[in-house]
Amino acid sequence: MLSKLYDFIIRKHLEILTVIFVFISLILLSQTENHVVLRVQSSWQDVSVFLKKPAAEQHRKKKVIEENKQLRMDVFRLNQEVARLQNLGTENERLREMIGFRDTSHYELLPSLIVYKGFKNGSSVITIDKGRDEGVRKDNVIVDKEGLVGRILSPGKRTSIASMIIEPDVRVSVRINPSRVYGILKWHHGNTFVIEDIPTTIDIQPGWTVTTSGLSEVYPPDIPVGVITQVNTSENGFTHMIEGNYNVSFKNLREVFILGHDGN
Amino acid sequence: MMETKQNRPLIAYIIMSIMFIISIIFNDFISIAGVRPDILLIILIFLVFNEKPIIAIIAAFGFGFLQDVFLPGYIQYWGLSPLIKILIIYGLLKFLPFVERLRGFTFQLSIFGAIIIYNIFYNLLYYSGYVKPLVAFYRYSLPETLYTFLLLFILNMIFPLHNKNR
Repeated sequence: MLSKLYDFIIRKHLEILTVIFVFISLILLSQTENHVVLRVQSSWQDVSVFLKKPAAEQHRKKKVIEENKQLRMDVFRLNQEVARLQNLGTENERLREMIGFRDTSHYELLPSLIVYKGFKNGSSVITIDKGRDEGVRKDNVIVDKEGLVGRILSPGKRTSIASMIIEPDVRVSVRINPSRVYGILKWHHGNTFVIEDIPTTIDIQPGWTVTTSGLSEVYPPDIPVGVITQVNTSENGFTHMIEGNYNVSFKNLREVFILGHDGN
Repeated sequence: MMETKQNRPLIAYIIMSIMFIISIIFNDFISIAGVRPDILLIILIFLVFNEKPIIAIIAAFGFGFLQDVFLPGYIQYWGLSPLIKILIIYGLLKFLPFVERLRGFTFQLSIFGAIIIYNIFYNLLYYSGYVKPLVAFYRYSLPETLYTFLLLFILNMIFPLHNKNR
């Protein structure tokens, strides 16, 4: 009997062992959250933390570097976003001012966007996004909220080519206020103009404003043009050499208004 | 030359001992997207092919027990790892004569099958009540199987599982 049992155990030792282990495992499963095991595990964690620490530190360092890289990228993106929003804010402000200007102006104004500013910086010819379809005619005057910009050279169907007053050949009939003296304004350089041939007997002061005179066939009266910055005597000694700055910042110009072709 | 061949299992055991330590201590660092390989199962499969069945069964229980005690996150199911490991190793031992005859792709497929069966049952029980069985399968069982099998495949290329002297 015993030898038979012994033979059985020898033959089926694997199965017997498996059953025993399965049984133990099931007992263990029924003992979940056993406090002894919890204590063993917490003790093990104390030991393993000591072993893990260098690797964990390295891992953390790597993670921090990656995080730092990501944050730098985020900062760059956010800076871009801030710049974009600032730009939009400026544009919004400018457009609001333009709307205000249009509402207070006694001229009929057609808002227009500059779609092309010439191949090179400082070009005096621009293309705007309004044409004959919107009622734009040749010699219509272009202004922005600060003052005179130029006139339409050639109206197309949907776009028009316009000339700005910062061109060497352009002359504008102007009036200096408050003295109400008339003169001919021409572009000097950059954003500056000169007015010549005004007798020295007439008092002209820096800071006085220059507007269109209305004597021209193209430009209606009282459109602001600029401010006088310097009054010198010319070489002949009889006339003033008046210098001033345009009100309009031609370099930063983006939107303009087209005055009704009759100027009203 | 003979000496080298005799030393091969020894080297394999040294490597597996290192892997064992890694799996016990640095288990967190070998995870990819939260998926960890079961290095203990790899060692057990190696034992099935290279050692006596009784050693493999005892190791299955021992490794399962160690896994439940020392690997974080397994404490709630103390006994689950030894149970599944014993059953899968016992099954593999029973099919061993058949598996040993297989070669190449079919052999690899049978090993893959053993690993995936283990992971399916383990994860099914481990995540029961928390995750749907299908989700447990493709979120845990399948990636863990692939990761484990990949490691075993690499190890098998260096130290073939087939023991000709067996």
